[in-house]
Amino acid sequence: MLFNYLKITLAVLKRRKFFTFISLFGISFTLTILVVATAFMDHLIAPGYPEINRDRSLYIWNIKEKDTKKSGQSSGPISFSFINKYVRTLKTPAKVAAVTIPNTINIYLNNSKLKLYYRYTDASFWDITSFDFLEGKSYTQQNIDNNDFVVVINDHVRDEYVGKGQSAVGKMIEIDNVNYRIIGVVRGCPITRLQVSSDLYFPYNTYKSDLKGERYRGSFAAIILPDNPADLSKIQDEFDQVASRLKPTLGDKWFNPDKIYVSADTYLTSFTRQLKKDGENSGKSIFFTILFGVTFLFMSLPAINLVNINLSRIMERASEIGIRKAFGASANTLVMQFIIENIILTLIGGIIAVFLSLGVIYYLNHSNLIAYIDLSFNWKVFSIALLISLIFGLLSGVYPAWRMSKLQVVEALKN
Amino acid sequence: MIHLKNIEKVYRTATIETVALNNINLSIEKGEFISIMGPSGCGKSTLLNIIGLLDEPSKGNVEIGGKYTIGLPDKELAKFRNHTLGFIFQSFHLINDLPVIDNVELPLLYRSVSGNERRRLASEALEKVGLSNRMKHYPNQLSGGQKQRVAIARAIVGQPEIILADEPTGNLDSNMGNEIMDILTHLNRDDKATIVMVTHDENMAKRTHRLIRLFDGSQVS
Amino acid sequence: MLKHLFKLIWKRKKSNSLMVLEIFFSFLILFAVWTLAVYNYKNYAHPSGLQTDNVWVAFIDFHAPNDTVKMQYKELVKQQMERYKAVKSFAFSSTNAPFTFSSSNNQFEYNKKKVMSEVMSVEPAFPDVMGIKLAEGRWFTKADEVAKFRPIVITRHLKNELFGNENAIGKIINEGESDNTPTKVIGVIDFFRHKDDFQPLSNCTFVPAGRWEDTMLMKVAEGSGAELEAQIAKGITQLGKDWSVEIQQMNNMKANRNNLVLVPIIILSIVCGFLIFNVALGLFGVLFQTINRRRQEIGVRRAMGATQKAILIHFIGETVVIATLGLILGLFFAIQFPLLNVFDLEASVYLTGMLLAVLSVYGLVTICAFYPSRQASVLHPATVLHEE
Repeated sequence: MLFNYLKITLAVLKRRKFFTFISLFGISFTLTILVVATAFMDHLIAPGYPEINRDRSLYIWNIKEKDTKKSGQSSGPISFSFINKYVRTLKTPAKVAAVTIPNTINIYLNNSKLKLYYRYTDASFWDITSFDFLEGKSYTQQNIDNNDFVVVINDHVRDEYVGKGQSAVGKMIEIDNVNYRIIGVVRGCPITRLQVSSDLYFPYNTYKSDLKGERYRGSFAAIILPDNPADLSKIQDEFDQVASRLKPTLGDKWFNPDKIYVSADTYLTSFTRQLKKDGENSGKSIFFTILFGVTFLFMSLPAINLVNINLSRIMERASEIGIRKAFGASANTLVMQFIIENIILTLIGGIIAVFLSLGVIYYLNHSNLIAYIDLSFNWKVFSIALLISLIFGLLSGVYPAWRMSKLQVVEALKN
Repeated sequence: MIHLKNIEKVYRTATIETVALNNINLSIEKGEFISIMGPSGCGKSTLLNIIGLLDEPSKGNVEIGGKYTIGLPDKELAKFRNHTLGFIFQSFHLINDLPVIDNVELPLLYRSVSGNERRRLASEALEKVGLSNRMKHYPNQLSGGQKQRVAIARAIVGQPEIILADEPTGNLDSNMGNEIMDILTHLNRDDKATIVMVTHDENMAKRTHRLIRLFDGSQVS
Repeated sequence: MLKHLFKLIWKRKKSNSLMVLEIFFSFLILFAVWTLAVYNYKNYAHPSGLQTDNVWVAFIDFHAPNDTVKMQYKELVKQQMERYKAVKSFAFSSTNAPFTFSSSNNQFEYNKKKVMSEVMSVEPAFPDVMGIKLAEGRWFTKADEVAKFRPIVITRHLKNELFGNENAIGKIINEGESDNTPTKVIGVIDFFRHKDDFQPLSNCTFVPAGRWEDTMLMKVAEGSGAELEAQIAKGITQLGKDWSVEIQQMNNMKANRNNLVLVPIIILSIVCGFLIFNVALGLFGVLFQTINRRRQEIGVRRAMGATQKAILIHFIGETVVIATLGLILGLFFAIQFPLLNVFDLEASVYLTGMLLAVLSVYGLVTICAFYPSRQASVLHPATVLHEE
């Protein structure tokens, strides 16, 4: 039966090459964009090198102090002492990493300069991430306690600073007149891994400012990886308890905060929380509403277009349909056949789109648009693509099919 | 009025050459009502198309109203069809998306005639074929005979000197056919229209002034 | 003739309504893209009011415990800077220097009128470094430090908002809510585009720098490169124990900020371009289909005296009328933007966007309709009239 449908469909599509081309172009182009966008979203949200524990971790990187009387507010990353005092002290067993937000620095070598990102981290940063060390190793708490001036660099820095393929470990690198010993070289990661990507990683003992300040705000983020993955929400609850007991720091006459908002969020929520201006609820629903809204709008135009083309195709076959009806085919059979035909068409478009997306993804991964980017076309993206194709096929097939079923035999034959 | 001289029409495809008309000589005087008969594929429609300037002969001369028409540019030919010729077809060829009155107005649309004038002329023409009460109807609400009467109204609305009818009764039963023939005869007698009609039907042909028979592209009588 | 087209379209409204819908959506997309383009182009067309060539910015982190110490550190840096021949002039500024990612606003009040403005605290050499020309009045000098009033220079946009047509020079205004520093306008500049090249005319106020500003702008000699940059960076960092310095070229900073505006527009345009192309192909196909179905009608029209040109015009005309219906619907929605003043853009920007979108839609449908209509016009009437 299905094979029969397929045969009929292919025959129909072959008969009207131009229409088939237009339909397939519209479908495959639309789906390609959606699939690439999905792959990009997946890249942004899902765990990936070197942040493979992302969906088992919690992130704290923004604290907000609000002055409800003067309606002023101030927000930013948390301080190192905040992490020590309120995060590392959580009872539920977990690894806690402290890492600064990235900054840039110039390194000058032979009349050219390298603009590099750098972060300061603690030793457990290397435990919760899984960087590939091309050589050497990461710094440990021992290095920090000894106040060693060491640095972990990525392969990009090694290639530029030391030379391609040469060994870098043990060499010195001079930054802002201070010499650091290269202790390890990691494979770089794309900048889109917002909380861990960098070119240089310094142990926090080399941090120039005082880390003991009592303020809540600072330049650090905390990443919490529970020892037991099931403890995620337990830690969230525990931290919420801690956060609710935080006392506002002293302000001045212009800004005197009386409320504090900070929470341990999963990776995505830690961003969607910023969407809604007040940052006081998770904003996840807004995020997904916007996402679906944009997708729907984007799909509507090609869908109308396809409906239009489908209608033309049906009207062209009006007399054929009339004859079939006259010979006793029920409206349902015809509608079924048409919808299946349309779904097969969109699936073919989907297959083309998969190949096109693979091409685009390959291009994006291999061009230097975003260094180290690793978009992947995995089963998740594929199943979303498949789902989108089916929705698309139904969306654009149902209305024309309905019109077809309404077609009067006599009128159809008359045309 | 119409003079055809040595008309030849050959259809060529890559492999086959088909002679549709062979050495046709024909003169039709003003006010004549003639019919063309012959079996299917004898070339009578081709002949009518050539007279109607819808088609060009491969060889020969066509003179209508004292003017040679071969090689005239599209614009001139269109003007000729619009002013001098009126067409009636076997399958009516009405535009289904337009009401009757607009169908009748169609030829006037390609002249500089004001909207009101168009409406007036079209109503007059519909009156002549006895369909003034069907002006706002759409073609698919009419019977075959009525459709053909609308087509006749459309053919005469521009007051052409020549009416070309391609099997006007071919899709109608004999009652309706006779009705149409009555109207055509009437137009010929009272309005002095020259009419050339292609038909299958001996009875219809008998009602015309002259009968031309074609067989395999040649004139046999 | 137009009435004739309307009748035909109305009778086929079911299938035409989809075309109308498509035109409607396409118009809205084009309207959005064109409005965005017009808005940005209009801003871009203003003079920038500053020169970024050979301007470098040094972000210095002194790790100073307080502003008094920082002031001393800054003196050291200034002495160091005098040593570089290639540095023509330099000035410290607050962190919201041109084309950085930070911003600082405050409220100014004159005659009970309150206006928000960007505030940059800069040293007197700032206009030399940035190549700023004053339109009225003068820039503040070192001598102003001891004056009774705090002197400020403002942009023309702010002048118009605060004072309207009045002369701004010499006016005393209040800054901030509770701060009562008496402030006097001493100069006006026409343009100052400091966020990116697509920034609209905006309010900006320059106030004399105090002790804490630690971003340094410098104008260097033409052709200076990484070598000088390295010298300066090293020269400054060695002055202090734990200082860090990052030098950036203002042209690059500007390019980065421009990209933030341009890249989304380019991506949007490409996606919209493909969408529109998709629609165009669809229209093309549907028109082909329609004309194919109406072959006999075309034959009849030809027989009734329509020239080839008349047929061509007829079918393009039908499409244009359908497009017009979609456009009327679209314009109804688009006109709400200037009427309700959504997004706070000038009405002229929206209107230009609308006009361009209308022209693009007409252009698009004419192109799409032309080929099928031409095919229709060259149909052989004798052939199509005998098809069944």
